[in-house]
Amino acid sequence: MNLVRAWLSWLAFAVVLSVAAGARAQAAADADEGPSHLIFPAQRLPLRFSHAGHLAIPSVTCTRCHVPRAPRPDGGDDLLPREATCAGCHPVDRAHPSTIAQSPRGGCDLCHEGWTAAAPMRVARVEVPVPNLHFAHARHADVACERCHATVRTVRLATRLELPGMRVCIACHRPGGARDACVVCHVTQPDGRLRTRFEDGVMNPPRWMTGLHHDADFWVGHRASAAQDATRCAVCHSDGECAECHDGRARDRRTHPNDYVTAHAVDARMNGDRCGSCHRASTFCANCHQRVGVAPSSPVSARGFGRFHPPAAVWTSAPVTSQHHGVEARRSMRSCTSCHSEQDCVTCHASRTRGGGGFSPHPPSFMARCGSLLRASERPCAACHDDLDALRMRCR
Amino acid sequence: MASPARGFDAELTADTNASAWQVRGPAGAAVLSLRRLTQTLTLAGATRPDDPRDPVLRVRARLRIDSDFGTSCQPGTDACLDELNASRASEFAPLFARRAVDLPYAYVELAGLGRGAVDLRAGRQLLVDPLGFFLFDGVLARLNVARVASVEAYAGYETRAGFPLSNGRFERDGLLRADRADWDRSLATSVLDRAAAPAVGASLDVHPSSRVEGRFSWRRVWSADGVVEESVAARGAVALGSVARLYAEAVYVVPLATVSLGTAGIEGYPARGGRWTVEVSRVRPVFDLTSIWASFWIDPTDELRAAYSTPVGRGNDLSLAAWGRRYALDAETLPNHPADVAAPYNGGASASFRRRRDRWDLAVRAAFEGGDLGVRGNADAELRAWVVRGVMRVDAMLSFVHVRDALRPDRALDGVGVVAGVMFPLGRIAQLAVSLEDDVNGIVGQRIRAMSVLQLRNIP
Repeated sequence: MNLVRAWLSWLAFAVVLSVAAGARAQAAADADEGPSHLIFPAQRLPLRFSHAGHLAIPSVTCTRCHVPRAPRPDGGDDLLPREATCAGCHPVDRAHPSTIAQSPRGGCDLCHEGWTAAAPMRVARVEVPVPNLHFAHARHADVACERCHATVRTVRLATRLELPGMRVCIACHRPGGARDACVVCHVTQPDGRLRTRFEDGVMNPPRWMTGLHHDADFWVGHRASAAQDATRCAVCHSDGECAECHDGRARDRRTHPNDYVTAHAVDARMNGDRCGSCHRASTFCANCHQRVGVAPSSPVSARGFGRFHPPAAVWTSAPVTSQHHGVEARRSMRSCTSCHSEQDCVTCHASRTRGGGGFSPHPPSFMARCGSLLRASERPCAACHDDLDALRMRCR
Repeated sequence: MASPARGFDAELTADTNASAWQVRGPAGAAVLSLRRLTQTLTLAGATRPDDPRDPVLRVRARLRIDSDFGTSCQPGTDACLDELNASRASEFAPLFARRAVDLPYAYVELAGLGRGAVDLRAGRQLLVDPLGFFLFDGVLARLNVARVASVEAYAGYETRAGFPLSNGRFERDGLLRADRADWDRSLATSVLDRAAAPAVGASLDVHPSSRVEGRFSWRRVWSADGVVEESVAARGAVALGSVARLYAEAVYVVPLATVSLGTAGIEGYPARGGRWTVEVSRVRPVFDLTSIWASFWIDPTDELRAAYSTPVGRGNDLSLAAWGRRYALDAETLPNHPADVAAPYNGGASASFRRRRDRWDLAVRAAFEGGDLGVRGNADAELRAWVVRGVMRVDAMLSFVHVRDALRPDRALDGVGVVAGVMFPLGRIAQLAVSLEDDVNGIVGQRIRAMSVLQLRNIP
């Protein structure tokens, strides 16, 4: 009953905590759901402009204002119209900036928000950071502008929301279509992998890429993605990232929070196979267990710290109960190997002719497949059995 | 004809990770002060062809030095553990190494030969496939067939402990291997002599359409004394439109005639984003066939797991999961079995929330599992925030843990832990992170753990 109460308390705590955090986040969510901020960083556009209004004029086309020029020094594709482009229709007299031309209307404040006659030569700066992307409008000249900037005819000021998301790109950059390698568009690191870390955060596969988006629990089940196609992971991740965690040398606080060294035993007991994805019981675990004196193979100088297992009356003696070591071993053999060497088991489980107790550790159906094991290796059989010829006869 | 590569870009990275902490033995008496310094040197380079369809030459290598400076003496006495030392058998700890140098991987790859048709790789490489991790020294070739399939074949030697620059991390569990050439044969008889293990394997990866994918893997390893480890695996997935995906996986160990892993599940993608999963799995651990454990009675563990992840606004993720686990003991086959030996069950649930912003990340996690085998609950909150962007970041974590072990009631534990740290970028090529952790619980009292990580990148 206490267990149920504790279970429910923790569950309620977890759900309340998470839902509260989620609700809080939802309430504060940014309304801007446009393309990735990492690919297209935030812009500053202190301008007044209406694409809808301009494109409604028959003589105005996209390329009338957005004329491709040489790439910017920082690598960006520069299509932003300059003052001269606008001034073709909206004349500005720089010598007398306060003078407002008519038909069509001119003057600095027509386009520049915050312009005042008091500071006629000062306007707020337009900031359009270079996208973290390889892209050249010139190479896409045969594609209609609105195929990528679909909403531009309906908006006033075109912002980053009018920039295309990845789904638009892969409509053409797909297998069998335009070049579809990730590196065609994404910027890379010196070693050829995609650059995923930017000043504003870490790039993550989009949610619509089924099974690849790294959500909050992705690390729990990422094995499936890696097992299916590790080369897909390698587009962004290095071998070092796998090795760093999966060889168990560096501690990750996300998986091992708090005083995990003291608390780990129950995890190993409940789900020891999960430990095995980063730790090899026979070496990593055994090393420490030996050192702190809990393993039977610990040096004499490290032992004598008391008994770790339950009393022998329930742990090793008959009758077998749920706390018997045989039951625990069948369920969690990896835990056994984290302390014990083969010899510890052979002492009792060897045949009587070998001086053991003759307690068979084999499963009931073992005779049906012991032949293939014996053919694979005689060594483990010979640890407990004397007469291997007799075994060969029995295990055909 | 392939155009010439524009050049070769390489990045050299050096990480130095120092930590100091204390460990108390399970019986509560020994307190060991441990100090570890782990240094890794990583090289990653690639050619940059003008045309992405041209071949790319990649070089990847990592060298690690793991130094253990911690005390290994029983407090209050002069009894100490030592590395191999025949003259002090009582203090001998065969796994205790003051310094370990290993090469986690080091290979050269020529990718995309023949307009993407062939990839070749040679050297020490970590393979990831449905059979699990496999670290080997050898060659691998991958043939990509008309965008719908690829065939991978490899051959070499499994990287096993006892050889220079090898720690045997990805060997199957069950045995210790070492170079015993200089050992006294009476010492640590449970440790086997090192022995080369030739290996071959192949995989077929098929993806006939964007909706179907499958992978079949086979591997064979010849250990010492003629032991042959052989496994096959298959996994596949079928998309049901854009709303769901079915998947399944199985690993079969040939000499044991045993399925060591079976998984089947369905994953759904709600229209507003997010993902839900329902999965059943059965796992039966398999040990090194050279060891006695491979022929022991080992029961499988079954798990049913349901999970749901959803976005909650830009940059926020919420994940919920629940699972039930059955340890499939077969009471009827137990000799002298009493009524209380039945399959134990455990169940649990977890919730994770992550909020990522330009200047800070917040993660909140809570999990609880309880049942016949014990109880474990934990709740953590982790914050990373730039105090001065690009100059100093503060890392903090608060965690609670609750443990009850039905088998060992004296190991009951309730604890709280606090971590505080700072990270400083040092120019464009380095960063230094320092953290201090303070954990308090009823078993060990108060324990401090200090960690520092220095990373140097793009070393000219």
